[in-house]
Amino acid sequence: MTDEERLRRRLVAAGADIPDAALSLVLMAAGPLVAAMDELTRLDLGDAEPFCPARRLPDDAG
Amino acid sequence: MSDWTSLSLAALARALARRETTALAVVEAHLARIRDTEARTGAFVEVRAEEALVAAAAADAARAAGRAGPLAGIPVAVKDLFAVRGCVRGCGSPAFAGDAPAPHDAAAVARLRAAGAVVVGTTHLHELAFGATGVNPALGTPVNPWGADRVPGGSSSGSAVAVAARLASAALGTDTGASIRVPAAFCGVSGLKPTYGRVSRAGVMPLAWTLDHVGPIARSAEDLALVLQAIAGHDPADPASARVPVPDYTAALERPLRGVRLGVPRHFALAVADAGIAALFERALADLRAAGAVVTDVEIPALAHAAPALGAVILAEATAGLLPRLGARADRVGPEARMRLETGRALGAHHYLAAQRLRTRLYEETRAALARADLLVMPMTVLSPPPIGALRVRVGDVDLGVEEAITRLSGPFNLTGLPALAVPCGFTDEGLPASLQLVGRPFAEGDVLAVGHAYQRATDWHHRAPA
Repeated sequence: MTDEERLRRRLVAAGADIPDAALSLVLMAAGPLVAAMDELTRLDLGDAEPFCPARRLPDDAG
Repeated sequence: MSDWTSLSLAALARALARRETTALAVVEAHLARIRDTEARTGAFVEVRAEEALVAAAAADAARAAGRAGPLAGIPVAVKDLFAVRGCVRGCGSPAFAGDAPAPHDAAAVARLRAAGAVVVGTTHLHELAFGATGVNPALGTPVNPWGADRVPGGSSSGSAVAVAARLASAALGTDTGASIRVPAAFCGVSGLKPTYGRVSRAGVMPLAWTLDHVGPIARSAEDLALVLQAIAGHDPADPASARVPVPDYTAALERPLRGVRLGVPRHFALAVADAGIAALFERALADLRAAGAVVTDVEIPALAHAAPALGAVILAEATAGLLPRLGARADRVGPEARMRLETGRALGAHHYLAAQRLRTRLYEETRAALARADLLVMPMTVLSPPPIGALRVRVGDVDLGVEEAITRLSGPFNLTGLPALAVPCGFTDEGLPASLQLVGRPFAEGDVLAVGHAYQRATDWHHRAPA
Protein backbone atom coordinates (compact mmCIF):
# COMPACT_ATOMS: atom_id res chain seq x y z
CA MET A 1 0.00 0.00 0.00
CA THR A 2 1.37 3.45 -0.87
CA ASP A 3 1.83 6.27 1.66
CA GLU A 4 -0.98 8.17 -0.04
CA GLU A 5 -3.42 5.24 0.09
CA ARG A 6 -2.59 4.60 3.76
CA LEU A 7 -3.28 8.26 4.61
CA ARG A 8 -6.49 8.28 2.56
CA ARG A 9 -7.84 5.34 4.56
CA ARG A 10 -6.93 7.00 7.83
CA LEU A 11 -8.58 10.26 6.86
CA VAL A 12 -11.77 8.43 5.93
CA ALA A 13 -11.70 6.43 9.18
CA ALA A 14 -11.17 9.64 11.20
CA GLY A 15 -14.09 11.35 9.49
CA ALA A 16 -11.89 14.13 8.11
CA ASP A 17 -13.82 16.67 6.08
CA ILE A 18 -11.74 17.05 2.92
CA PRO A 19 -13.43 17.86 -0.41
CA ASP A 20 -12.77 15.32 -3.16
CA ALA A 21 -11.18 18.04 -5.27
CA ALA A 22 -8.53 18.69 -2.61
CA LEU A 23 -7.93 15.12 -1.54
CA SER A 24 -5.25 14.25 -4.08
CA LEU A 25 -3.28 17.37 -3.17
CA VAL A 26 -3.52 16.57 0.54
CA LEU A 27 -2.40 13.01 -0.05
CA MET A 28 0.51 14.11 -2.19
CA ALA A 29 1.62 16.78 0.30
CA ALA A 30 1.04 14.90 3.55
CA GLY A 31 1.39 11.23 2.58
CA PRO A 32 5.21 11.07 2.84
CA LEU A 33 5.21 13.17 6.02
CA VAL A 34 2.68 10.96 7.78
CA ALA A 35 4.68 7.91 6.66
CA ALA A 36 7.73 9.49 8.30
CA MET A 37 5.64 9.97 11.45
CA ASP A 38 4.86 6.24 11.33
CA GLU A 39 8.61 5.63 11.24
CA LEU A 40 8.95 7.73 14.41
CA THR A 41 6.66 5.35 16.27
CA ARG A 42 9.02 2.48 15.44
CA LEU A 43 12.19 4.19 16.70
CA ASP A 44 13.80 2.75 19.81
CA LEU A 45 14.00 5.86 21.98
CA GLY A 46 15.15 3.99 25.06
CA ASP A 47 14.17 5.66 28.32
CA ALA A 48 13.17 8.95 26.73
CA GLU A 49 9.93 10.27 28.18
CA PRO A 50 7.73 12.87 26.46
CA PHE A 51 9.36 16.29 26.40
CA CYS A 52 8.03 18.95 28.75
CA PRO A 53 9.69 22.24 27.72
CA ALA A 54 8.04 24.31 30.46
CA ARG A 55 9.76 22.15 33.08
CA ARG A 56 12.95 21.01 31.38
CA LEU A 57 14.29 24.32 30.09
CA PRO A 58 14.05 26.27 33.38
CA ASP A 59 15.64 23.29 35.15
CA ASP A 60 18.62 23.62 32.80
CA ALA A 61 18.85 27.43 32.86
CA GLY A 62 22.17 29.05 33.68
CA MET B 1 15.18 67.03 8.03
CA SER B 2 16.68 63.56 8.58
CA ASP B 3 14.86 60.52 7.27
CA TRP B 4 14.07 58.95 10.61
CA THR B 5 12.93 55.73 8.92
CA SER B 6 16.51 55.09 7.79
CA LEU B 7 17.84 54.68 11.33
CA SER B 8 17.90 51.41 13.24
CA LEU B 9 15.94 51.08 16.46
CA ALA B 10 19.10 51.51 18.55
CA ALA B 11 20.16 54.60 16.58
CA LEU B 12 16.67 56.09 16.87
CA ALA B 13 16.61 55.45 20.62
CA ARG B 14 19.93 57.26 20.95
CA ALA B 15 18.71 60.19 18.82
CA LEU B 16 15.55 60.45 20.91
CA ALA B 17 17.50 60.26 24.19
CA ARG B 18 19.82 63.05 22.99
CA ARG B 19 16.72 65.04 21.93
CA GLU B 20 17.95 65.27 18.35
CA THR B 21 14.40 64.46 17.32
CA THR B 22 10.99 63.87 18.85
CA ALA B 23 8.80 60.82 19.05
CA LEU B 24 6.19 62.73 17.08
CA ALA B 25 8.62 63.38 14.21
CA VAL B 26 9.78 59.76 14.20
CA VAL B 27 6.27 58.32 14.21
CA GLU B 28 5.03 60.80 11.61
CA ALA B 29 7.91 59.79 9.33
CA HIS B 30 7.05 56.12 9.64
CA LEU B 31 3.33 56.72 9.12
CA ALA B 32 4.10 58.76 6.00
CA ARG B 33 6.28 55.95 4.65
CA ILE B 34 3.52 53.44 5.36
CA ARG B 35 1.03 55.63 3.46
CA ASP B 36 3.43 56.03 0.55
CA THR B 37 4.40 52.37 0.22
CA GLU B 38 1.52 50.29 1.57
CA ALA B 39 0.10 49.61 -1.88
CA ARG B 40 3.32 47.85 -2.88
CA THR B 41 4.32 46.27 0.43
CA GLY B 42 0.97 45.05 1.80
CA ALA B 43 2.43 44.53 5.26
CA PHE B 44 -0.38 45.94 7.40
CA VAL B 45 -3.84 44.69 8.27
CA GLU B 46 -4.67 47.89 10.13
CA VAL B 47 -2.70 51.10 10.61
CA ARG B 48 -3.45 52.92 13.88
CA ALA B 49 -2.28 56.36 12.76
CA GLU B 50 -4.29 58.60 15.09
CA GLU B 51 -3.62 56.42 18.11
CA ALA B 52 0.09 56.27 17.24
CA LEU B 53 0.35 60.05 17.05
CA VAL B 54 -1.32 60.39 20.45
CA ALA B 55 1.09 57.80 21.87
CA ALA B 56 4.05 59.61 20.30
CA ALA B 57 2.99 62.89 21.89
CA ALA B 58 2.69 61.09 25.21
CA ALA B 59 6.21 59.68 24.75
CA ASP B 60 7.54 63.18 24.17
CA ALA B 61 5.75 64.42 27.26
CA ALA B 62 7.19 61.56 29.29
CA ARG B 63 10.68 62.43 28.09
CA ALA B 64 10.20 66.07 28.96
CA ALA B 65 9.14 64.97 32.45
CA GLY B 66 12.20 62.74 32.79
CA ARG B 67 10.25 59.47 32.86
CA ALA B 68 10.67 58.15 29.32
CA GLY B 69 10.86 54.38 28.95
CA PRO B 70 13.73 52.74 27.05
CA LEU B 71 11.66 52.45 23.86
CA ALA B 72 9.89 55.82 24.17
CA GLY B 73 8.79 56.94 20.72
CA ILE B 74 9.97 53.83 18.87
CA PRO B 75 7.43 52.74 16.20
CA VAL B 76 6.61 49.03 16.31
CA ALA B 77 4.28 46.73 14.39
CA VAL B 78 2.46 43.71 15.81
CA LYS B 79 1.55 40.46 14.09
CA ASP B 80 -2.22 40.12 13.85
CA LEU B 81 -2.11 37.05 16.07
CA PHE B 82 -1.71 39.19 19.21
CA ALA B 83 -4.55 40.96 20.94
CA VAL B 84 -4.08 44.69 20.37
CA ARG B 85 -6.46 46.92 22.27
CA GLY B 86 -9.11 48.28 19.88
CA CYS B 87 -8.20 45.99 16.97
CA VAL B 88 -10.01 42.88 15.78
CA ARG B 89 -7.56 39.98 16.17
CA GLY B 90 -7.87 38.46 12.72
CA CYS B 91 -5.19 35.75 12.94
CA GLY B 92 -4.75 35.98 9.18
CA SER B 93 -8.07 34.26 8.61
CA PRO B 94 -11.52 35.20 7.31
CA ALA B 95 -12.82 33.06 10.18
CA PHE B 96 -12.48 35.95 12.62
CA ALA B 97 -14.00 38.69 10.45
CA GLY B 98 -16.69 40.48 12.41
CA ASP B 99 -15.24 39.67 15.83
CA ALA B 100 -15.32 42.42 18.45
CA PRO B 101 -12.13 44.47 18.89
CA ALA B 102 -9.81 43.26 21.65
CA PRO B 103 -10.48 45.02 24.96
CA HIS B 104 -6.90 44.51 26.20
CA ASP B 105 -3.41 44.13 24.79
CA ALA B 106 -1.58 40.82 24.75
CA ALA B 107 1.09 40.74 27.46
CA ALA B 108 4.02 41.37 25.10
CA VAL B 109 2.22 44.30 23.47
CA ALA B 110 1.43 45.78 26.89
CA ARG B 111 5.10 45.45 27.90
CA LEU B 112 6.21 47.21 24.72
CA ARG B 113 3.81 50.06 25.39
CA ALA B 114 4.94 50.25 29.02
CA ALA B 115 8.50 50.73 27.70
CA GLY B 116 7.23 53.63 25.59
CA ALA B 117 7.00 51.94 22.18
CA VAL B 118 4.34 53.23 19.80
CA VAL B 119 2.21 50.61 18.05
CA VAL B 120 1.67 51.79 14.45
CA GLY B 121 -0.44 48.84 13.34
CA THR B 122 -1.07 45.14 12.99
CA THR B 123 0.54 43.00 10.30
CA HIS B 124 -0.50 40.21 7.96
CA LEU B 125 0.49 36.58 8.45
CA HIS B 126 0.11 33.10 7.03
CA GLU B 127 -3.44 32.05 7.89
CA LEU B 128 -3.68 31.02 11.57
CA ALA B 129 0.15 31.15 11.63
CA PHE B 130 -0.11 27.67 10.13
CA GLY B 131 2.52 27.81 7.39
CA ALA B 132 6.01 29.04 6.62
CA THR B 133 5.63 30.70 3.21
CA GLY B 134 3.63 33.72 4.39
CA VAL B 135 1.36 33.36 1.37
CA ASN B 136 -2.21 34.28 2.32
CA PRO B 137 -4.59 34.23 -0.65
CA ALA B 138 -7.61 35.34 1.38
CA LEU B 139 -6.32 38.37 3.25
CA GLY B 140 -3.17 39.32 1.39
CA THR B 141 0.45 38.29 0.99
CA PRO B 142 3.00 40.91 2.05
CA VAL B 143 5.52 41.60 -0.70
CA ASN B 144 9.08 40.44 -0.20
CA PRO B 145 11.05 43.64 -0.78
CA TRP B 146 13.96 41.69 -2.26
CA GLY B 147 11.85 39.90 -4.88
CA ALA B 148 8.15 40.45 -5.47
CA ASP B 149 7.74 37.02 -7.05
CA ARG B 150 9.26 35.31 -3.98
CA VAL B 151 7.54 34.34 -0.75
CA PRO B 152 8.13 36.71 2.17
CA GLY B 153 8.39 33.77 4.58
CA GLY B 154 5.95 33.05 7.34
CA SER B 155 4.10 32.99 9.29
CA SER B 156 5.10 36.47 10.55
CA SER B 157 5.32 37.75 6.97
CA GLY B 158 3.94 41.25 7.49
CA SER B 159 6.11 41.86 10.54
CA ALA B 160 9.29 41.03 8.61
CA VAL B 161 8.22 43.05 5.56
CA ALA B 162 7.36 46.03 7.78
CA VAL B 163 10.85 46.02 9.28
CA ALA B 164 12.62 45.36 5.97
CA ALA B 165 10.68 48.13 4.21
CA ARG B 166 11.49 50.58 7.05
CA LEU B 167 7.83 50.93 8.07
CA ALA B 168 8.55 50.10 11.72
CA SER B 169 11.75 49.88 13.75
CA ALA B 170 10.77 46.48 15.13
CA ALA B 171 7.86 44.09 15.10
CA LEU B 172 6.47 41.31 17.22
CA GLY B 173 6.13 37.83 15.77
CA THR B 174 5.46 34.31 16.90
CA ASP B 175 7.44 31.19 16.01
CA THR B 176 6.05 27.65 16.12
CA GLY B 177 8.30 26.08 13.48
CA ALA B 178 9.95 28.97 11.66
CA SER B 179 7.68 31.95 11.91
CA ILE B 180 10.00 34.66 13.27
CA ARG B 181 13.33 33.48 11.90
CA VAL B 182 12.34 32.43 8.39
CA PRO B 183 10.49 35.63 7.40
CA ALA B 184 13.35 37.61 8.94
CA ALA B 185 15.80 35.56 6.86
CA PHE B 186 13.81 35.81 3.63
CA CYS B 187 13.34 39.58 4.05
CA GLY B 188 16.97 40.32 4.97
CA VAL B 189 16.45 41.39 8.59
CA SER B 190 17.18 39.87 12.02
CA GLY B 191 14.81 37.80 14.16
CA LEU B 192 15.01 36.13 17.56
CA LYS B 193 13.07 33.14 18.82
CA PRO B 194 13.79 33.32 22.54
CA THR B 195 13.81 30.27 24.81
CA TYR B 196 10.40 28.64 25.31
CA GLY B 197 8.80 30.42 28.27
CA ARG B 198 11.01 33.53 28.12
CA VAL B 199 8.32 35.82 26.65
CA SER B 200 4.67 35.58 27.63
CA ARG B 201 2.22 34.20 25.08
CA ALA B 202 -0.80 35.54 26.97
CA GLY B 203 -3.21 37.16 24.53
CA VAL B 204 -1.74 35.35 21.51
CA MET B 205 -3.88 32.89 19.54
CA PRO B 206 -2.17 29.52 20.10
CA LEU B 207 -1.20 27.21 17.27
CA ALA B 208 0.70 24.49 19.15
CA TRP B 209 1.09 24.97 22.90
CA THR B 210 4.42 23.23 23.36
CA LEU B 211 6.06 24.88 20.33
CA ASP B 212 4.72 28.46 20.33
CA HIS B 213 7.20 31.26 21.08
CA VAL B 214 6.87 35.07 21.03
CA GLY B 215 9.80 37.21 19.92
CA PRO B 216 11.01 40.27 18.01
CA ILE B 217 12.02 41.05 14.44
CA ALA B 218 14.29 44.06 13.87
CA ARG B 219 17.27 45.10 11.77
CA SER B 220 20.07 43.99 14.08
CA ALA B 221 20.97 41.92 17.12
CA GLU B 222 21.41 45.17 19.03
CA ASP B 223 17.84 46.21 18.18
CA LEU B 224 16.54 42.77 19.16
CA ALA B 225 18.29 43.03 22.54
CA LEU B 226 16.49 46.29 23.28
CA VAL B 227 13.08 44.83 22.40
CA LEU B 228 13.70 41.56 24.24
CA GLN B 229 14.65 43.53 27.36
CA ALA B 230 11.20 45.11 27.31
CA ILE B 231 9.14 41.95 26.72
CA ALA B 232 11.02 39.18 28.58
CA GLY B 233 10.11 37.94 32.02
CA HIS B 234 7.69 35.83 33.99
CA ASP B 235 3.96 36.29 33.47
CA PRO B 236 1.49 34.30 35.57
CA ALA B 237 -1.07 34.68 32.77
CA ASP B 238 0.97 32.26 30.59
CA PRO B 239 1.13 28.76 32.10
CA ALA B 240 4.41 28.05 30.28
CA SER B 241 6.07 31.30 31.38
CA ALA B 242 9.39 30.63 33.12
CA ARG B 243 10.52 32.06 36.45
CA VAL B 244 14.06 32.65 35.24
CA PRO B 245 15.79 36.00 35.95
CA VAL B 246 16.12 38.37 32.99
CA PRO B 247 19.70 39.62 32.49
CA ASP B 248 20.86 42.89 30.92
CA TYR B 249 20.86 41.98 27.22
CA THR B 250 22.49 45.21 26.07
CA ALA B 251 25.40 44.65 28.44
CA ALA B 252 25.67 41.09 27.08
CA LEU B 253 26.28 42.47 23.59
CA GLU B 254 29.73 43.60 24.63
CA ARG B 255 30.99 40.07 25.34
CA PRO B 256 34.02 39.36 23.15
CA LEU B 257 33.82 36.79 20.37
CA ARG B 258 37.44 35.72 20.81
CA GLY B 259 37.57 32.12 21.98
CA VAL B 260 33.81 31.48 21.69
CA ARG B 261 33.30 27.91 20.49
CA LEU B 262 30.80 27.53 17.64
CA GLY B 263 29.55 24.03 16.76
CA VAL B 264 28.35 23.24 13.24
CA PRO B 265 26.01 20.23 12.82
CA ARG B 266 27.37 19.91 9.32
CA HIS B 267 26.12 16.32 8.87
CA PHE B 268 22.54 17.65 8.82
CA ALA B 269 22.68 21.37 8.17
CA LEU B 270 24.64 21.14 4.93
CA ALA B 271 23.61 17.68 3.76
CA VAL B 272 20.71 19.22 1.84
CA ALA B 273 21.36 22.84 0.87
CA ASP B 274 21.48 25.10 -2.15
CA ALA B 275 25.06 25.54 -3.30
CA GLY B 276 24.76 29.33 -3.10
CA ILE B 277 23.43 29.22 0.44
CA ALA B 278 26.19 26.81 1.49
CA ALA B 279 28.85 29.08 0.00
CA LEU B 280 27.48 32.13 1.84
CA PHE B 281 27.44 30.13 5.06
CA GLU B 282 31.08 29.10 4.65
CA ARG B 283 32.01 32.73 4.09
CA ALA B 284 30.13 33.70 7.26
CA LEU B 285 32.03 31.01 9.17
CA ALA B 286 35.28 32.44 7.84
CA ASP B 287 34.22 35.91 9.04
CA LEU B 288 33.40 34.50 12.49
CA ARG B 289 36.77 32.72 12.64
CA ALA B 290 38.53 35.90 11.61
CA ALA B 291 36.77 37.70 14.47
CA GLY B 292 38.13 35.16 16.95
CA ALA B 293 35.54 32.37 17.14
CA VAL B 294 36.66 28.73 17.23
CA VAL B 295 34.58 26.63 14.84
CA THR B 296 34.19 22.86 15.15
CA ASP B 297 31.77 20.26 13.82
CA VAL B 298 29.25 18.60 16.17
CA GLU B 299 26.97 15.59 15.74
CA ILE B 300 23.27 15.61 16.63
CA PRO B 301 21.87 12.38 15.09
CA ALA B 302 18.24 12.98 16.12
CA LEU B 303 18.08 15.96 13.75
CA ALA B 304 17.34 13.38 11.05
CA HIS B 305 13.89 12.83 12.63
CA ALA B 306 13.07 16.43 13.45
CA ALA B 307 10.79 17.12 10.48
CA PRO B 308 8.22 14.38 11.16
CA ALA B 309 8.38 15.12 14.89
CA LEU B 310 7.64 18.79 14.26
CA GLY B 311 4.84 17.86 11.88
CA ALA B 312 3.26 15.44 14.32
CA VAL B 313 3.30 17.89 17.23
CA ILE B 314 1.98 20.83 15.23
CA LEU B 315 -0.76 18.83 13.51
CA ALA B 316 -1.89 17.10 16.70
CA GLU B 317 -1.86 20.20 18.92
CA ALA B 318 -3.39 22.50 16.30
CA THR B 319 -6.14 20.04 15.45
CA ALA B 320 -6.90 19.42 19.13
CA GLY B 321 -6.78 23.10 20.09
CA LEU B 322 -7.83 25.17 17.11
CA LEU B 323 -10.65 23.16 15.55
CA PRO B 324 -12.88 23.20 18.65
CA ARG B 325 -12.02 26.85 19.23
CA LEU B 326 -13.05 27.71 15.69
CA GLY B 327 -16.31 25.78 15.97
CA ALA B 328 -18.69 26.75 13.17
CA ARG B 329 -16.21 29.38 12.01
CA ALA B 330 -13.97 26.58 10.72
CA ASP B 331 -16.05 26.70 7.53
CA ARG B 332 -14.56 30.12 6.82
CA VAL B 333 -10.96 28.97 7.19
CA GLY B 334 -9.08 28.90 3.89
CA PRO B 335 -8.42 25.58 2.15
CA GLU B 336 -4.72 25.22 3.04
CA ALA B 337 -5.13 25.70 6.80
CA ARG B 338 -8.35 23.70 6.81
CA MET B 339 -6.66 20.76 5.07
CA ARG B 340 -3.85 20.82 7.64
CA LEU B 341 -6.32 20.82 10.51
CA GLU B 342 -8.23 17.93 8.96
CA THR B 343 -5.01 15.99 8.30
CA GLY B 344 -4.29 16.15 12.03
CA ARG B 345 -7.31 13.92 12.57
CA ALA B 346 -5.42 11.07 10.89
CA LEU B 347 -2.79 11.00 13.64
CA GLY B 348 -2.99 8.87 16.74
CA ALA B 349 -1.76 9.33 20.30
CA HIS B 350 1.18 7.07 19.47
CA HIS B 351 2.37 9.53 16.79
CA TYR B 352 2.15 12.45 19.20
CA LEU B 353 3.92 10.65 22.01
CA ALA B 354 6.64 9.30 19.74
CA ALA B 355 7.27 12.85 18.58
CA GLN B 356 7.38 14.15 22.15
CA ARG B 357 9.84 11.42 23.11
CA LEU B 358 11.95 12.23 20.06
CA ARG B 359 12.04 15.81 21.35
CA THR B 360 13.64 14.59 24.57
CA ARG B 361 16.27 12.68 22.58
CA LEU B 362 16.92 15.68 20.33
CA TYR B 363 17.15 18.03 23.32
CA GLU B 364 19.62 15.81 25.14
CA GLU B 365 21.82 15.39 22.08
CA THR B 366 21.72 19.13 21.43
CA ARG B 367 22.61 19.89 25.06
CA ALA B 368 25.53 17.48 24.76
CA ALA B 369 26.71 19.34 21.65
CA LEU B 370 26.29 22.60 23.57
CA ALA B 371 28.59 21.24 26.27
CA ARG B 372 31.38 20.97 23.68
CA ALA B 373 30.45 24.25 21.98
CA ASP B 374 29.10 27.51 23.37
CA LEU B 375 26.65 27.97 20.51
CA LEU B 376 25.53 26.12 17.41
CA VAL B 377 25.77 27.84 14.03
CA MET B 378 24.21 26.85 10.69
CA PRO B 379 22.39 28.41 7.75
CA MET B 380 18.97 29.72 8.77
CA THR B 381 17.40 28.08 5.74
CA VAL B 382 18.70 25.66 3.14
CA LEU B 383 17.29 27.71 0.28
CA SER B 384 16.62 31.32 -0.65
CA PRO B 385 12.98 32.51 -0.74
CA PRO B 386 11.18 30.20 -3.20
CA PRO B 387 8.76 31.46 -5.86
CA ILE B 388 5.21 32.18 -4.70
CA GLY B 389 3.02 29.20 -5.52
CA ALA B 390 5.76 26.55 -5.54
CA LEU B 391 4.57 23.37 -3.80
CA ARG B 392 7.81 21.45 -4.21
CA VAL B 393 11.36 22.75 -4.54
CA ARG B 394 14.70 21.34 -5.61
CA VAL B 395 17.34 21.80 -2.91
CA GLY B 396 20.71 20.56 -4.05
CA ASP B 397 19.94 17.11 -5.42
CA VAL B 398 16.79 16.59 -3.36
CA ASP B 399 13.13 17.27 -4.15
CA LEU B 400 11.25 18.49 -1.06
CA GLY B 401 7.85 19.86 -0.16
CA VAL B 402 8.20 23.62 0.16
CA GLU B 403 7.22 23.74 3.85
CA GLU B 404 9.61 20.93 4.77
CA ALA B 405 12.42 22.65 2.91
CA ILE B 406 11.77 26.04 4.52
CA THR B 407 11.53 24.70 8.10
CA ARG B 408 14.32 22.11 7.88
CA LEU B 409 16.78 24.08 10.05
CA SER B 410 14.34 26.19 12.09
CA GLY B 411 11.97 23.48 13.33
CA PRO B 412 14.50 21.58 15.44
CA PHE B 413 14.81 24.54 17.79
CA ASN B 414 11.08 24.82 18.31
CA LEU B 415 11.23 21.16 19.30
CA THR B 416 14.03 21.81 21.79
CA GLY B 417 12.80 25.27 22.86
CA LEU B 418 16.35 26.64 22.72
CA PRO B 419 16.98 30.30 21.81
CA ALA B 420 17.74 30.84 18.13
CA LEU B 421 18.74 33.98 16.26
CA ALA B 422 18.62 34.71 12.52
CA VAL B 423 20.98 37.37 11.13
CA PRO B 424 21.57 38.33 7.49
CA CYS B 425 24.78 36.87 5.99
CA GLY B 426 24.76 37.89 2.34
CA PHE B 427 22.92 37.67 -0.93
CA THR B 428 22.68 34.96 -3.56
CA ASP B 429 23.60 35.53 -7.20
CA GLU B 430 19.90 36.34 -7.73
CA GLY B 431 20.09 39.13 -5.15
CA LEU B 432 18.03 37.26 -2.55
CA PRO B 433 18.98 37.39 1.14
CA ALA B 434 20.64 34.56 3.04
CA SER B 435 20.82 34.22 6.80
CA LEU B 436 22.83 32.62 9.58
CA GLN B 437 21.24 30.87 12.57
CA LEU B 438 22.85 30.93 16.04
CA VAL B 439 21.46 28.63 18.73
CA GLY B 440 22.23 28.83 22.43
CA ARG B 441 21.72 27.06 25.75
CA PRO B 442 18.43 27.45 27.67
CA PHE B 443 17.75 31.13 28.47
CA ALA B 444 21.13 32.16 27.03
CA GLU B 445 19.64 34.76 24.69
CA GLY B 446 22.48 37.06 25.75
CA ASP B 447 25.01 34.63 24.26
CA VAL B 448 23.32 34.37 20.86
CA LEU B 449 22.73 38.13 20.70
CA ALA B 450 26.38 38.78 21.62
CA VAL B 451 27.70 36.58 18.81
CA GLY B 452 25.14 38.00 16.40
CA HIS B 453 26.19 41.51 17.37
CA ALA B 454 29.89 40.69 16.98
CA TYR B 455 29.16 39.25 13.52
CA GLN B 456 27.21 42.37 12.59
CA ARG B 457 30.08 44.59 13.75
CA ALA B 458 32.33 42.69 11.36
CA THR B 459 29.89 42.72 8.41
CA ASP B 460 27.35 45.11 6.92
CA TRP B 461 24.68 42.76 5.54
CA HIS B 462 22.13 44.01 8.09
CA HIS B 463 22.58 47.58 6.83
CA ARG B 464 21.55 46.67 3.27
CA ALA B 465 18.15 48.09 2.37
CA PRO B 466 15.95 46.96 -0.51
CA ALA B 467 15.47 49.40 -3.37
